[in-house]
Parts: sequence; C-alpha cells; structure tokens
Amino acid sequence: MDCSLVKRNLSAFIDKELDDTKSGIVQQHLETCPECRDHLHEFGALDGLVHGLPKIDPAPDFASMVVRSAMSASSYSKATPLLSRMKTAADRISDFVFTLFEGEARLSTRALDEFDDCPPLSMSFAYFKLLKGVKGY
Amino acid sequence: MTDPDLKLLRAAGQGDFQAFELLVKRYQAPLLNFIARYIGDRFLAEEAAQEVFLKVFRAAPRFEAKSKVSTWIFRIAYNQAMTEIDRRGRHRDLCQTLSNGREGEEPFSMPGEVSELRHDVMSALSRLPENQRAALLLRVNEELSYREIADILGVSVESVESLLFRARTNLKKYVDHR
Repeated sequence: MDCSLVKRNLSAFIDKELDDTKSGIVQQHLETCPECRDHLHEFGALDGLVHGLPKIDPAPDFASMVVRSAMSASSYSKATPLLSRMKTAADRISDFVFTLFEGEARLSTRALDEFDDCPPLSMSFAYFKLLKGVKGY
Repeated sequence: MTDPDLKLLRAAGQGDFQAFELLVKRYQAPLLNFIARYIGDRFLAEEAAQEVFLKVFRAAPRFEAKSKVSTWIFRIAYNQAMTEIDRRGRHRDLCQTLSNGREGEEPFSMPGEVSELRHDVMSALSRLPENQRAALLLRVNEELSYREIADILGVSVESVESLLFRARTNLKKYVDHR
C-alpha cells in the first residue's frame, strides 16, 4: 500500500474501523514510513483538541424543567377534551386577531372616555374587553 | 446485548416521569454539547435540547427499538440542530457566532493561554461542512461507531468513513493556516 492510500485509511485506522487485513497493512506501513506516522499523530492530536474543548454544563434545573414541560404537555393533551382544546385554540386565535387590529397597548391602557368616538369600533372593543373580563384575563 | 436505556424509554413512553427525568439527566450534557458545537450557539442549543427531549417524550411510545436508544435520541438531536441552522439561515458565519456569542459573552468560556488554540480549533470546526462537523463530533466526543453515526446522519457507513477522513483533513488544513 502506498502513502496516499495509507493516508486515506488513517482516519478509519485511528477509529479502529478498518478490517483486520487493512489494519495490518496500515500498521506495517506505519512502522517504516515516518511521514505517515506524523500524519497519524497529527490526526490524533486534532482529535484530542476537539475532545478537549470546554464543555457546557446544563443548568441545574434543566432536567426538572424539561420534565415539567413534558408533564404539562401530557396532561393538557390527555385530560382536556377535544372540544375544550378547540375552544381554547379558537379563543387564542380571536385574541390574536383582535390584538392585530387594536394593539396590546390600547387593549390594556385605554381609558373608558376614549369610547365615545366611533360606535362600531368602540362596541367591538368593549365587547372583547368584557369578554376578556369574564374569562378572567 | 440489551440496551440499558430501553427500559427507561419504555417506562417514559407509558407516562413514567421519573424514568423520563433519569433519561434526560443521562443525556442532557452530551446532547447539549453536541448541539452547541454543531450550531455554534450555546443559548440556542439549550432551547434546542429542550425541544429534543420533548420530542423524545412524545415519540417514546412509538419507539420500535430498531436502533439503540442513544442513536435514536442523537438522530432527533441532529435533525433539531439542522432545523435550528436552517432557521438562522444556512449562510450565517458560525465562526462569528463563536467569536461574539450573545450580548458580548463567549459561548464557551476559555480562560488562560490555551484559549487561543481552542478558539482556533472551534473556528476551524465551525468552518467544516455541516455533515463533516456532525460526524466528527459524534465520533470524537461521543465515541460512536461508524454504524451508529451512519444511522444518525442517515447515510452509509462508507460515507461516514469518507466524511471523517475529509473532516480531519480539512480541520488540519484550517488549523495549520491560522
């Protein structure tokens, strides 16, 4: 096996993924070829550097946070009837559409005296405001 | 050979949250590190890792044990990481992310004199094509076999061999040229 072929197999050789025959040939070549040996050492050193990169520690409460999310997702999908889930989704969509037209700031901060401008808009604004009050938002 | 995680996953699939928590604790660090190094952003990696575990939980009842649990979890993580990269735009310079981090913070804290070399390696790693980077991280950090890496990346074992050869050759070239 010549050097170029050995170099191509060095990566799999390091990983011990070559079959016995190929591995033996590469091993034999390495014993007599300093250039390929250098190449092998360089690959090994790079692996060491990648392996030695600083590790990130997960937040201490990471696992419990994930479990809580899984619990709420699980209880929501199991315990809540389909009709109720559809109603919640419809509520959310209507809220979203409403905020698109009115804006969150107006929804939460407008005073009642601002209602006497245009009847249709005020009516709808009041309707949604009342609706939200009833739902306890 | 029995898969030590299979029992936990089966229990989690039946709604056993204690078993699920044990599974999360077992995989949280390797998964977080794999995703962070793959996408180059530790903050996004934390969100992605959470999403991976939720997907694991949801899909646990359907796990068919055609592969090891670890391989299956890493495959979900790899897909999630690819989605994150797609979301951010595939042409964004990962090296920049690694250098700048978010709000001026380094994604990996690197104190002392070795930080420059580590930074070079991280930059070189970020310049690798995504599939080469994934293969190298799974091999070097997780010590997975070529068969397992092939299953995770959805390619043949021969492709993994080629990916790893090219990853190491490119990494060496990028580090040497800095």
